[in-house]
Amino acid sequence: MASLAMASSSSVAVFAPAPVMTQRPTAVFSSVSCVRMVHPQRFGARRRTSRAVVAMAQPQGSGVETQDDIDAKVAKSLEEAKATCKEDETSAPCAVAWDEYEELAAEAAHARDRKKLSQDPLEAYCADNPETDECRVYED
Amino acid sequence: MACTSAAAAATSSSSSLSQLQLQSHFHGQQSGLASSGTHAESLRTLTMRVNGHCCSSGGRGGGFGLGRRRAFVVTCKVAPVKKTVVIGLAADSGCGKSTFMRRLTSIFGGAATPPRGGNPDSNTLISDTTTVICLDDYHSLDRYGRKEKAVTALDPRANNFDLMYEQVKALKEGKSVEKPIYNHVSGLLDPPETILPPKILVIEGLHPMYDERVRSLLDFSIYLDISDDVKFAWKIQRDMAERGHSLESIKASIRARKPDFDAYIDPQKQYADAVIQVLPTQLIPDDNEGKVLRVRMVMKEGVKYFEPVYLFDEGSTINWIPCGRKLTCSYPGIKFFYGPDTYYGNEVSVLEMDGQFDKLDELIYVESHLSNISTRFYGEITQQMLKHGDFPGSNNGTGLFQTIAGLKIRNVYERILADGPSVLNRAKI
Repeated sequence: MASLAMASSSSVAVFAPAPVMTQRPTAVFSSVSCVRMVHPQRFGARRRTSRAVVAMAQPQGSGVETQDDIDAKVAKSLEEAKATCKEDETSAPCAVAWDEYEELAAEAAHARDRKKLSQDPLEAYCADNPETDECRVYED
Repeated sequence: MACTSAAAAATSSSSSLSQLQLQSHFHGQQSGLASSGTHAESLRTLTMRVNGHCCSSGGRGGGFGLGRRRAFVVTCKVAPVKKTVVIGLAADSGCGKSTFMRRLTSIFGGAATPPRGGNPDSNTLISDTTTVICLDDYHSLDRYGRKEKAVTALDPRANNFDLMYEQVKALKEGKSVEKPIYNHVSGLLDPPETILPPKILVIEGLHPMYDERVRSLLDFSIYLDISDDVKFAWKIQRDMAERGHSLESIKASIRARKPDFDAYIDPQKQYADAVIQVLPTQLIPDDNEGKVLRVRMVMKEGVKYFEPVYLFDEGSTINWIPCGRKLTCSYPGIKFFYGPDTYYGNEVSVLEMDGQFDKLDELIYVESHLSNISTRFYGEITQQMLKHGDFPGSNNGTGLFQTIAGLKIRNVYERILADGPSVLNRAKI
């Protein structure tokens, strides 16, 4: 997980973010930035540089909710809707339950589409900008 | 560039004037009023305020009807966009990620992405010219609140129309707003995000035309009307691949939402400037796959800046099958209808397409016979359809009419801007 090293002084160099390196079971990070902390020289004192590599994680998407979470929610709301509507199909709670199921099913579908696109950044870019040079397709 | 052409227009004008109004359509920029100095001067300074990028240019010109040589110095200042055009889109699919939105933002140029660095579950899409706001963000009750009060999201009681009106009005006037975020995943209302006023604001959701005050702010409005059979077929395609869903549950969910839908969402059709209806095809008897579609675009007459698309002759009734000697189509072919009609008491023109495009030739053939399509060049519709060939509906009337609607919106936008700051009220008559 991300950890921040303690540093008392200021000078910080931030490097460009690196692509995803590891896939953790609980959260997915889209980019990891490395920070190098350097102590400035104090007068007369021996120069001492201490470096601490700090990894800062930037969560991707709704980092907490994964595809499985959303699918589980959809399944749960489906069960609830069926149970609520068993008594009375025209009641308001029944409509609300099906509405919630519909909202979650739509969100699950969007999450699936997002996941498909996010796997290859070029695909995602080209889906919306097919006319750019990188995305041109030639068929003979 | 805009400035040099405007300067040329200024210098070539030979009427004596104290004020010049210059028009520029370069990327929808507008130029303000230019006032010249008093008469007996050998040098006149024309100051033009042009929105957008502009280089300063000097011009020399002939007299203003006084027979004397005058030198004109044109200086351009970059001024912020003061005019926001508001478009309303009523649709039942989730916000901002729909195909219609992607086609629309593509017509205006650039890809629309969620705001960078903000809440990852934001529903807002931002591109260079357009910002798309999801009206679900104005829910007054979150998912748990709605369950408690037993109201669906379709019910106006679950939405804060006062806030919606206030914020859309502020954006239209050029002020930023802090808009709440409705998180569809958690079902809760998240802390607000800042929205800067864009050139084009699109509000998409279930109730863009429900509230009268919000309706008065819209410059153009569209209602996407999907019939139940098609809705059912699309939901099956969307959900059946995943485990747990069944035909019955999909049917039950559509049926359960229908009363609220008919009571609150459906009546908005009468206020829309354009309604796109998606129905099952009439070309294939007993078709229930929903792959071939019959799409009708119902366009209101008399809307300012909006001329309905027509076939062959405006105001007559035309039935047209383009397939024949010049064009060969594969089964089931293509069939067009155009004619005047009344819709909820309004005079409308209806353009309808039934069938599917199979090849490029069909698309360009059809485009060449449509009129009032507001394209910038011949073949623009075909180009847009091909550009997004992988989007659903790219081979039938849904893609075609969504593209045409997008071009019409662009046309409305350009004409509102061209009218300049004198037009402060909404575009509708």
